[in-house]
Amino acid sequence: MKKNHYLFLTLLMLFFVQNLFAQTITISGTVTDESGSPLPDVSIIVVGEKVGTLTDFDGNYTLQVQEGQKISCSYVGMKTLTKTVGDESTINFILQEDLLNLDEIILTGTSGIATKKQLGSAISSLSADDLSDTKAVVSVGEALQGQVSGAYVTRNSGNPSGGVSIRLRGASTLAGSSDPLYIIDGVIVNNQSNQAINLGGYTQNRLVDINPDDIERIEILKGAAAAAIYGSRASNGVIQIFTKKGKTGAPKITFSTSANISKIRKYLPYNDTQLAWDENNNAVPTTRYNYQDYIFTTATGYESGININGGSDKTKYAASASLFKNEGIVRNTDFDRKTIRLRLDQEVYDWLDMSVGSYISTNKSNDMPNGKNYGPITALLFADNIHDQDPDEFGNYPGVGLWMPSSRETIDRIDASQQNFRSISDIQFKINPFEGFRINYTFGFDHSNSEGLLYIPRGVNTRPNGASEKVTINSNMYNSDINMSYQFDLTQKIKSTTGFGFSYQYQKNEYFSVINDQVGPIEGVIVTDPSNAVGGTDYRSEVSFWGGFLQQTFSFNNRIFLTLAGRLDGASTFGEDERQQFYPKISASYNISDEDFWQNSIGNTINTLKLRAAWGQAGNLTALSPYQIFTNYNQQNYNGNIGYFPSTLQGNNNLKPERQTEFEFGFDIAMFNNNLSLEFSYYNQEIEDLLIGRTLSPSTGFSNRYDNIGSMTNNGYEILLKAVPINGDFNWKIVGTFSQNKNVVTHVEGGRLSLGMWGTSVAQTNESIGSFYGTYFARDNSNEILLDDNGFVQRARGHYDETILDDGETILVPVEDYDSDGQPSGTLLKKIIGDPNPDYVASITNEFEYKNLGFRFQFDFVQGNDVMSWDKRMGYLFKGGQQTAQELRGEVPIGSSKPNFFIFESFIEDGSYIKLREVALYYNLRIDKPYLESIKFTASGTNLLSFDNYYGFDPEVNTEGQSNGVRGQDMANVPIPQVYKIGVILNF
Amino acid sequence: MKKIFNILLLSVFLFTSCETDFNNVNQPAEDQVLTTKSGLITATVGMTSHFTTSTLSPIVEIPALSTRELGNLLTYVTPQELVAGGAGLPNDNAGLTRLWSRLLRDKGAAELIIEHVEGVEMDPGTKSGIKAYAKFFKAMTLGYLIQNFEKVPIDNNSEGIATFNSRQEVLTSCINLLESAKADISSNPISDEFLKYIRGMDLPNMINAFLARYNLFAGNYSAAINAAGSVDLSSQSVWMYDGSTNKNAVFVFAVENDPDTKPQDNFGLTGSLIPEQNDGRIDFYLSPSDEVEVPEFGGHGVENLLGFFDEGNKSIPIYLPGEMLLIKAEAYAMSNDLANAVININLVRQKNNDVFGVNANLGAWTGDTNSSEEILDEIFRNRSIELFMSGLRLEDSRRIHSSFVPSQNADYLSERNRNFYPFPFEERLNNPNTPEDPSI
Repeated sequence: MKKNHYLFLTLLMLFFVQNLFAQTITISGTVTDESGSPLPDVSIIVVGEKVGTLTDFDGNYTLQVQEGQKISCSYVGMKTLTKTVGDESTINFILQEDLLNLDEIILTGTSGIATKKQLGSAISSLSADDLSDTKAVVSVGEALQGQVSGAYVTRNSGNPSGGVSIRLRGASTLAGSSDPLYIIDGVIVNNQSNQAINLGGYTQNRLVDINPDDIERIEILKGAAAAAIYGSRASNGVIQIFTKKGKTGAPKITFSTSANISKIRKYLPYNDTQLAWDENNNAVPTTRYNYQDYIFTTATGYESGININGGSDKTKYAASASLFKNEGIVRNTDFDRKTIRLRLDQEVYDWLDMSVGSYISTNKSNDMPNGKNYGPITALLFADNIHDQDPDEFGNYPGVGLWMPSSRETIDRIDASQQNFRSISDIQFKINPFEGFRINYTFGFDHSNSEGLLYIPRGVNTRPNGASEKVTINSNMYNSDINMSYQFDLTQKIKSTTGFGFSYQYQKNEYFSVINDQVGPIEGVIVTDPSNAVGGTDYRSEVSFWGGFLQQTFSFNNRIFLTLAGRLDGASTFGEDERQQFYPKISASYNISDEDFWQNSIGNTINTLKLRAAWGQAGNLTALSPYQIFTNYNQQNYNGNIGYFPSTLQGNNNLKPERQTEFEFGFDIAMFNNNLSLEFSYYNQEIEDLLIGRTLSPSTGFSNRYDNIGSMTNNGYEILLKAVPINGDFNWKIVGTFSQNKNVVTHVEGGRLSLGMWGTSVAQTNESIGSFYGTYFARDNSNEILLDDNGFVQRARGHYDETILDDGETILVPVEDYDSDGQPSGTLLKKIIGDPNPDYVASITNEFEYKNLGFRFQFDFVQGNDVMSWDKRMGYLFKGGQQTAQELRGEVPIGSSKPNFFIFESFIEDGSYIKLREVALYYNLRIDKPYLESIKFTASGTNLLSFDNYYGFDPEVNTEGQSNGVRGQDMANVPIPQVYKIGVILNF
Repeated sequence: MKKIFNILLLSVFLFTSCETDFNNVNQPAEDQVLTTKSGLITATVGMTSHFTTSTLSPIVEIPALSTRELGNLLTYVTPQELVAGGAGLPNDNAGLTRLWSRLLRDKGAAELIIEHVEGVEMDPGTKSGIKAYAKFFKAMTLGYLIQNFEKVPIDNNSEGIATFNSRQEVLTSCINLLESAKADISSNPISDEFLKYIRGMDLPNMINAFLARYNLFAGNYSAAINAAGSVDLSSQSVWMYDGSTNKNAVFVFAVENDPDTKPQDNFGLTGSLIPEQNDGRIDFYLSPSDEVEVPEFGGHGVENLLGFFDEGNKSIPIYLPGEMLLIKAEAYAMSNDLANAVININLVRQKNNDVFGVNANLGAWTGDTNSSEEILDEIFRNRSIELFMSGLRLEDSRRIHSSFVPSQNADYLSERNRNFYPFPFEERLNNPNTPEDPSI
């Protein structure tokens, strides 16, 4: 203590002088909730001091204080309570549940420390308690499903390491990625979705390297208005993850272990009719196989983790290690992860805290190719299932008449794997040189190394020479952030907080591959011999981002808060003249329920009401890849000499970062003794200067160039509802989220831009991003499907009219034409035939607890979206499909299915679903012995039921993985499995 | 704001170095290539490489499909649309786009070299070599463009608003470029340093040969005769291929992997133009095959291609000496000097010492030496055989048989089914100066 005062006196000589003369006393007490249950681990601190303690397992605490000081008692999910120390020696606290959590301290996007109360923009925060410890999840992304309003979280595939896409308030770019920025303990981390080897949409997120059990808290900023600190990269929102920290006290050990079983929820419809066509188109008996019986298997997995934390007053530590192993439901696929984590917090001086963290993760997945290229499910779509796929007695696999091996041969013989090594480290200093002034410095480092291997042995059907490929991707990132804030009282009522800071981020990527198109006949010798390579790539890139901000907050009476902020940001990927961008922000909040007139009138019914509004801009500096502003020359050799020739992409040194302007307003309300809370936000985003790789006239000498030639909008609203209808021994808690987002592409030069999947996913003016584009049914005047002479469906025909859109672009609009017989005539027509963006997504979680027994279930709703099911399309043409079975059985006319193959509208499916995401039962057994505090038993089922009308495996699907524009496409994608899990958590 | 920003910038420099500019270590940028001698030399090599592997294919293939040099064996859309021709040939035909955009890329690369070479210091012989070679390249790419399209932009425009020039303007520009190239290397002979990068080429003879070609196209007959006469017929200039990373551009689409397009019987000539049976050039270029086209594409028989194209590593002549004789013959014929025309025809027919082995080994022509029409037909027949698969047939047919009007409908049988191609879709979509498409 003395040193503290000494230092302060040396620095400023005027703070806390009166404390020197106060009398020190010891107080103790108990902290309970409203039902009288003791609360352990509640922090009790002396306001304005660095002194504090935690309650023990029975809710008791003891603390040395001085008379007249204030002590404050805070706990996650409870309202903070502050009492003044008088002459009593016992101070008990009864904490009230706080569903709104307005006193919660928020770090993300603020210049120092701010409570939720002060913020003008919506922020979602989740504690470890909110993230189910019973649910079977492999990554943080999945854990967020159904927990955050304004977020649309989809698991893209059922691969054991399958990727997750998160859209916070919709997509915000066409050329880049719309995934949010991820920050772990202050380190901006790599969440790239590189496919080491292209196995067909088999992308992992690098976030899969993190064990969700290590997370203590997650803060989610959804839009531009919130993002003063991460402005330059924040137009997609920010997800900041805080891992568990050490706490003062004896070491606490938590050990958890679980086992699970995964199964396929639903088979793809297939041809199960034991008939085939002979050459005269008669149905004759044959044997048909269900290839899915071999492709899919019941998979098992287990997981265990140990977490230790503790510490003294000045040194705290948290350490954990985990093992995760899970098989995929596609035979011969799995994912295996090991993590080790350490966080150390040290008070160096009274005015200086240091925190050091290290995260090491290594994982390996055994994969199967699938999707558009080749693989077991791809072969399933194309093969006529009359072939027995089993190998003969010599181990030779039969071909199935395709350009790829059979499902079984692929599974048995093709080896594809990816191995990742990840290390994230950080060091942070919190400096408090004098009262009101804080400096935070963070240096973070993230290294990831991925190695992809593919081995196809000799003699595989269609690849008689075999093949092998090795790819390594190295990514090194670091960020160096300094943030400072100064807080002082302008008057008695007006407080000022000034924040400023600077950030520099650097990223280096290296990609290296070697490809052989033949391998030796000795299986087991699988290395990719570089001296016989037929191809390969060596590509290295470096990028840096930097930015500084200044932020000023005034608070009036601790009720009204006004914040103004500005940022200047830059990125090395842009040209000198345009790379520096200024982003302003303004926000305000009014905690009207703190006013006396409120408390004296309706304060008992509506306990809390906060109004908030924010306007701000943010940039997307990541839409452009490195070096795209230059006209680059490719190496092209001739006659033994090295030559360089211009690439097809023309450089453009005048590109600007994409800019998003967002306005949001909303309110947070708590009612009925804080038993019901609601957070509502409306937002409107306008994104301008979208970067688009436009086509050029060939007389430029080039094919494409990036230009700022697009714009789009997102608007919608989001609701988070929490309710505690019954509180007591029997406790019932409801958490609901509802999000509605409308995305409209307002301008694309040329009117329409293909985003991929053979031109079926497009961005078109006045439509939503990723809308489906293709041929459609010919219909008559009454909109009934118009059949041709054979009684079959047919494509619409006619001509295109030029139409000028609102944004001045000319687009060709199809006009159906008919001949004298009323049949379609003219050229084949295409139009927008579907939209993968849902009308709304919602989720509701109910949790019931009776004493130590708990039960919860979560339903997720996604409604009003379309899915383009290529799985269904293939069935129209290829004989293994259900449609051929219907023809064979005479249920539909022979040949009536095939025309559908060419009509894209025929395989647009309603992707709406209601999923029973989780059902869980748990029991908390209190042991209360020195060697063991409690045991928690859990049993859960994940993705058990889906209520949908979808043709294929599962409407929750994205064949192109985390692709920005290609959404809701389904081709040979691994379905999301049902998972049954049991677990034990031991608290020592 | 800026000042505060700089202070902040400084404060963090204390902790890390803040680099804000990174060089592309994977590829050089334009200004790195075009501002040094060695960069400019690599740009000429890259241009040659791209032309030989990418551009030469459509130069030969596309007009060959419209003029019966090639038959079509499968139902791929691109060749199918070209062998049908007529007004129905769409402007987004992938072959047309290839022909148009690759030639323009090469032309653009040549223009950049011409623009920048003057400002870079180097040995005068190296500079003149680079300059002359780039000018030759621009003239050649312009020439191949104007053989297939009615109008062409002489100069590329990086903003996408290139203006188009008439055929006569383009040919004049080609001739001027070649004359200027000739002047460059006559005042400063090409240095040994640069000669290493154009191995296999005899640039002075190439320039004269192409001067002869474009003067003939432009109707400057005496200039054509002079230029053709100054070409040393024993000189060889070729595009080279290593057979692995650079494969013979015609081999890849007409020979390798049992392709969908193969040479038609009789070089695609019919009636009185069918080659004489003992013409030595038949066995030089073709090996017999029983394969026949799909009936709906005309049902022509096809042969297997030999000549300069049956191996992936064979070199392709940049021009053939026989073309010089035939240019003279035609120029004389067009200048009404029929006797000299026949002399030159016979030099081709009786040739048995061709430096590339293209030897007809026939007797003297027995046609009517007083009929310019018959003489021109004989020239056309000999050009079609001697210069088989060199991308000249459409130009030759349109020039020599100019009175023939191709049908608006699909036509699988006539000597040509288009005069000029429609301007490719990408150009029309993005360049407001794109002219009207030709009617046929």
